[in-house]
Amino acid sequence: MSKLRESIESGKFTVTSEIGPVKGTNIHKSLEEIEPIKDRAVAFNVTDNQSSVMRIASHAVCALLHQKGIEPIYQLTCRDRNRLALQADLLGAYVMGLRNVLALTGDHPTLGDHPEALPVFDFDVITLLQTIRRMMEGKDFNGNALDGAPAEFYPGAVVAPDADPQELQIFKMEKKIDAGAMFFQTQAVYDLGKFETFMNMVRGRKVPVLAGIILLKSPAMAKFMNENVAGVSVPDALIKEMEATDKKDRAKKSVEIAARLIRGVKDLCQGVHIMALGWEKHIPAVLAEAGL
Amino acid sequence: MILSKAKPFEKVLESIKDAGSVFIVGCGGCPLGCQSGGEAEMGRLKESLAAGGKKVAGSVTIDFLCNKALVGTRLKRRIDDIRGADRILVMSCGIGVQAVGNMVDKPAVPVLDTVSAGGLQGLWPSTECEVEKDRDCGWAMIYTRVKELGRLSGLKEPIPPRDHRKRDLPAEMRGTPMAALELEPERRQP
Repeated sequence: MSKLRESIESGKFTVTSEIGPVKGTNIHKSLEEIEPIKDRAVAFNVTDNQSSVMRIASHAVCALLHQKGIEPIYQLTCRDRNRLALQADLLGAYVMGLRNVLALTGDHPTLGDHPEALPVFDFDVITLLQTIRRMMEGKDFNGNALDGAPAEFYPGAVVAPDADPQELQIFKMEKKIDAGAMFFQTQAVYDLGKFETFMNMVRGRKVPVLAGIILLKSPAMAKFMNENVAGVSVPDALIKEMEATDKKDRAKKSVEIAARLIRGVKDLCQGVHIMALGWEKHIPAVLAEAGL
Repeated sequence: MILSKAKPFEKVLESIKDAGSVFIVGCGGCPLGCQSGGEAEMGRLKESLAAGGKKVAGSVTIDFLCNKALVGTRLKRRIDDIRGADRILVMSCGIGVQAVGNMVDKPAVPVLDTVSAGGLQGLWPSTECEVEKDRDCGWAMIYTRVKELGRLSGLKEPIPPRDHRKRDLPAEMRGTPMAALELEPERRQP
């Protein structure tokens, strides 16, 4: 059983974080990023051509982390691979020791640095999750027997609790649960009231949810996310709080806000997924201030 | 319907740079619907060609250039004009260009670009399209409509992925008259 699954199922408030693979071969940069926090999170997501920008393969970075004793969460999108490649990569990932898989549709290629690329989407994320479940039971998508099943995969998925309308997100989340998602990581949460409503609506499904926490670096970043990142909405009060803070104290304020959000979600869900976006060094302070 | 728009005219001129005269074949089907074809567009094209120093040997608009039998009979009536031109300009999608190219022994040159109507990817956490900001998200529209109809449970069913073998004509349909009309002219090409 993966450490992530063990932590979540033991009922412990679970912390995960993530790294963005480099665009190139200077892999030490990605590994250095998580050095200060490698013992502070149970597992680390490794993104798959995040925002449709071409980078080093997720499974390769995951395998390196695994070799170093750091548990990865292998992110796999439907954007770049057809059903043969998705299943082959999953089997490959399993024999390299990877267990946690986060299944995603993937951003559209037009949003990234190869906008001319073929958007594959042979499978949607629901079919991908169903296929992972089927593979765990020893069959491929078409029902052919596998010679060795990846029985210990721990498949997860994503949801955006702040999305407008929330109703569609919950509808899709339920479809993902039915298709085999065993845990959820969320898009950034800033509005605790909205998150509570969301959790009240999904709690009945008894699927663990790790609330997304993105460190707010500046008022400009908050405004940028409000305008450009679908499913994220930073309330005005938080933006004003950042604006009223001196530039030199922004990091401290950022830590304070993140810690406050974590304390706010602590009794509502099963853990947090912290996305520091380059501010990894502040994660220990966030966790300490949140009492974790 | 196949969506299309006019190619940049410099590109058209470039593709006929060795030709002195052209014959234009218009399509009265889809291009009419997306206003990339029709009488006005034909007129504009003729004016641009004249300004670009090209002679227009004649023109004809055929209802649907994808109807290959129709293309053959209609072009036959204009065979003298066609013989007098160096190139055939075709105002249609690629199917029409192929159909015209299969009927005449002169190069058929497209003057339109086909445009993808786009597909639907994952559910985007907004009512706005992921790819184009001022477009509505298709999934949000589907959800709203299906909800109004009281049939949300149907949307709960997983949608099986596409069978890509269906891109090719199935073996059992290859002997049908329709397939013969669609495919045979191409097979007769040297």
